[in-house]
Amino acid sequence: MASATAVVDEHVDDHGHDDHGHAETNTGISNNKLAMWLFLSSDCLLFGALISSFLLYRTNISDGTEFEGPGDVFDIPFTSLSSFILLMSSLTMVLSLSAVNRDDQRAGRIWMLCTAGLGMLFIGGQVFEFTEFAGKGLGYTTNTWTSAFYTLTGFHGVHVSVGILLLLGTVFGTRNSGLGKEKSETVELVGLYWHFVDIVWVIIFTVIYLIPIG
Amino acid sequence: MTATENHVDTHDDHDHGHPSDRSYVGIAIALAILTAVEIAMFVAEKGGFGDALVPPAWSLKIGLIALMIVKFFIVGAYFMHLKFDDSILWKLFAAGLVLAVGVYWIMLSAFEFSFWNDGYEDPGFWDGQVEFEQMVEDS
Repeated sequence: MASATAVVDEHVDDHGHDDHGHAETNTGISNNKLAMWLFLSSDCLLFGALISSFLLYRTNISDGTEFEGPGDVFDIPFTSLSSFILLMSSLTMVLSLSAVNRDDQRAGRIWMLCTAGLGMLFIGGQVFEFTEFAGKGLGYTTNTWTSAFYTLTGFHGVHVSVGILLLLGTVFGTRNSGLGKEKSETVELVGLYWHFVDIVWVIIFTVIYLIPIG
Repeated sequence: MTATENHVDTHDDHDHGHPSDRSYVGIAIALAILTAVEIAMFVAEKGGFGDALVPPAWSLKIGLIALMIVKFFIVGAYFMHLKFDDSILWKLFAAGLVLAVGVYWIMLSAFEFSFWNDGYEDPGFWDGQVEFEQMVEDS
């Protein structure tokens, strides 16, 4: 029995994982991964608050301007393209993790940089959209609809920006140490955050942009 | 079988459950198709495919929400690996999700929010605004 334990101990690397990616914890899941899921779970409450606030104020546009509602300003083809870009960034992210798991460092880095690039495109689109809205006289305090809209989509944009920084930090922070299989958990955690940002946009795109008020 | 062999066998089964790159591309294509269907429904509602094909608003809302939920779970299950990871992770995530939906459903109900209302009307929670402003003036 003692020898079997010793063999298992040897099987576990310095990071507390065995060769199969399982951590030496009570749950078999690394503390970092559990913490990330706990964070994402709590982030549901943040976005829940912002989305429900928007839903409450979605009809409150009485501001004395010529603005007649979201249909006036939303550019659905453009936002659809942004949504598609973010959706595809989830694919490049998961391909990056897959490459890192295969110990293919070059592909892992390329896919991760692609993910960051697509994220930047999305943010660029959001900046363009906000600029267009501002050009039509819709500021943050124009009415409660605009306040709720900018707060919700702005918070999401901040999340995407943080994700881009995490991706670039992972790519450039591992230039010396390498982005091999031993870093797969780091890439997985960044990926989980990125996919979460994507699924939040899936909800925002449908609830805010596509569902008609009438 | 030794303890170590048993350990390896159990975890090997788990690791081999992850989709291949080809499967990930297939899943992304499925997500893109679902998004295209969502946009087509939106265009149909605006009369883009002719007046005869304009769906009722309620069916559009139900359809779009159903597609949104499907996309949400596909990304969660396959890209976030919830389908393949330990069940404690999806339980943890589901706890936050259910709590958020429950709390804000109650909040929206308290403000008499209706998902089905028409037009741009003042929200119901400002019904007492006149009395409130009168009370402020009186004080």
